[in-house]
Amino acid sequence: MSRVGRRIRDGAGGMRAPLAFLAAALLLWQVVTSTGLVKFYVLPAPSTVLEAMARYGPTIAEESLATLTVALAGFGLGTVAAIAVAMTLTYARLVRDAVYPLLLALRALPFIAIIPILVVIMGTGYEPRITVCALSTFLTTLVNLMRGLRSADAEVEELMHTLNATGMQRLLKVRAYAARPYLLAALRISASSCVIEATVAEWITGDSGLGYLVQISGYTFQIGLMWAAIVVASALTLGLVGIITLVERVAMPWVPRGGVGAAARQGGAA
Amino acid sequence: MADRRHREGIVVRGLTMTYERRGITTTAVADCDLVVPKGSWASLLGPSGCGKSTLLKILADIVKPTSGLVTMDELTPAEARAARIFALVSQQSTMLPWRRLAENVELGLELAGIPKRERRARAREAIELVGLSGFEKAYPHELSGGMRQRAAIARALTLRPRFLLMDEPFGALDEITRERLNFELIQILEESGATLLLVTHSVSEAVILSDQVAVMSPRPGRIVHLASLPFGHHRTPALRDDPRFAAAERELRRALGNGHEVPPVRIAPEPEPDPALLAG
Repeated sequence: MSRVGRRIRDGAGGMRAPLAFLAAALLLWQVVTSTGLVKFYVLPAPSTVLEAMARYGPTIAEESLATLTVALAGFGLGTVAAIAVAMTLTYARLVRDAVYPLLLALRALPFIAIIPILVVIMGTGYEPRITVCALSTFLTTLVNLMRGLRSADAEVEELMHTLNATGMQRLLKVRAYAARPYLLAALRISASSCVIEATVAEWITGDSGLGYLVQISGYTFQIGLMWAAIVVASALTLGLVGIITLVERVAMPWVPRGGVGAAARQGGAA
Repeated sequence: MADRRHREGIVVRGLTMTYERRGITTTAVADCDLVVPKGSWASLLGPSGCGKSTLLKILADIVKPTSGLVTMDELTPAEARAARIFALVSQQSTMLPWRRLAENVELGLELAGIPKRERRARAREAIELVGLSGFEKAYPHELSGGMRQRAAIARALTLRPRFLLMDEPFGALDEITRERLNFELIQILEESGATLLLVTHSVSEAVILSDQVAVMSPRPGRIVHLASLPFGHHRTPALRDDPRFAAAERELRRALGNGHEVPPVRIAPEPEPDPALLAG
C-alpha cells in the first residue's frame, strides 16, 4: 500500500508551479475586470463567477450530477463494449476481417452532429446523451485496444512459444499487460471527450445538465452563472482525467517516471 | 521419420533452410550435419548472417527447416518443446517488462503449471546461482544488460533443461563482463550436466565454452570445420594461459578465414570447354 501511496504522492509535486501561475492569472483577471476595462458580459470578474457559484450552488450541483451521470454511464458502457469487442475481434479472425474496417470507418462520424438524430430516435432523456458518449468512447478505446493487444514484441511472442505457453496464458500474461498503456491512453482521451459530448448533447436535449444550464443562463443574461457552469464542467473533466492518471500509476507500476510513452518504449527494449 | 537415428544428445542431419523473398531464394543453412553428445558443450561459430542463429531457431521449434532432420534425445523440436526438455536463451535476453525479476525468472515454471511454492524456491535458487540475489523486486528496465542476461539464464535454469540453447547470450556485453559470465556459465553447466549448444561470433568465447566448435561459412551457411577441444569440463580463467588455448584460437581463426574466402564472381558463365578441343 505504501508503494501505491508513494506513486500517487509523487504526482502532486509537479503541481506547485502551475497553481502559482493560475493564482497570478486570476488576480490579473480580477483587476482588469473590476476596474471596468473590460465589459462584464465580455468577461465577468472571477468574484462574479464565484458569487454565482455560491448563490446557485444547489442548482449547479444538481446539473453537474446529471452531466456526470451521462458522461460516466457513456464512458463505462463504451469501455466495457470496447473490451468485449476487441477480445472477440482479436480471436475471431473472420469476424475481424469483415467488421473491423467498417468500425474504423465509423470513426469518421461527427458524433456531435448525430445527436439530433439520436434525439429523434430516443427522445430528450438521458438515453441519447449516454449513447453519444458511449459511441465515441467505444470507438476510441476499441481502436487503441486492437493495437495494444497486438503490441507485444516478436521476441516476447517467441519466448512464450519456446516456453510452450497456451493461448490463454499468452492472453493473460502478455497481452493483458501489453495492452494496458494503450487502453489507459484511450480512457484518458475518452474521459475528457465524454464531458464535452454530454454538455453539447444537453444543449440539444434541454431538460438537465451543465450544458443546459449554460444555455438557460445565457438566455436570461446571467453571465456569472454561465461562466460558473463552464468552470464546473472543466473541473469535472480535470477530475475524471485525474482519476485515470491515478489508475495509470497503480495499474502500471512497471512504468518508469516519464509516463506512458516511456513505458511503450520500455516494452520494446526490455 | 524412418531414418531417425536413435541417439541421445543433439543430432542434426542434412539440415537445409531456404527462404524465398520476392522471388529470390536465399539459402540460410545448407546441408548441415552435427552431433552434440549428451552432456557435452558445442558452439556454432561464424560471422553474422551465416545461418547459425537459424539453426538454433530450428532446434527451438521457432522455424521449420526446409529439409533434413533435427532431434534432441530422439525428439523432434516440436516434441521437445512440448516435453519442455530444452531452454532457449536468446540474444535479446527477452524479459516481460511488467514483471519483476523474480516473476520473470519464474515465468517458465508458471507456464508449466508448477505450484507457487516450488517455483518460488526454484527461482530463488537460480537467481542466487547467477548472482542476482537482492534484485528480485527490480523491473527489467532497472537492470543493466548484463543483469538481464543473467536473469534470462536463470529463467532457463529453473526449467532444469536437458538442453541449453544459447544464441549469442553475451553478444551485447563488454568483453570483461562477457568473460566473467563465460566462466560463471561453466560452473553452472558443470553442476547441471546439461548439453549446451551455443551460437557465437567470438572465437575466445567458443573456445572457453566448448568441447567441440563447428565453424560455419557465410551464406549459404555450412559447417566448414569441426574442432575438438581437449580441456575437459573443469575450466577456470587460467585456461587462457594454456598454450593449447592459443593454438585452438589460431585453428578456429584460420578456419573462419577459409570460410570467408568467396569464390571469384563470374559475370557470365564460362563456356563449356569443347571436348573435341580438349581431345585434340
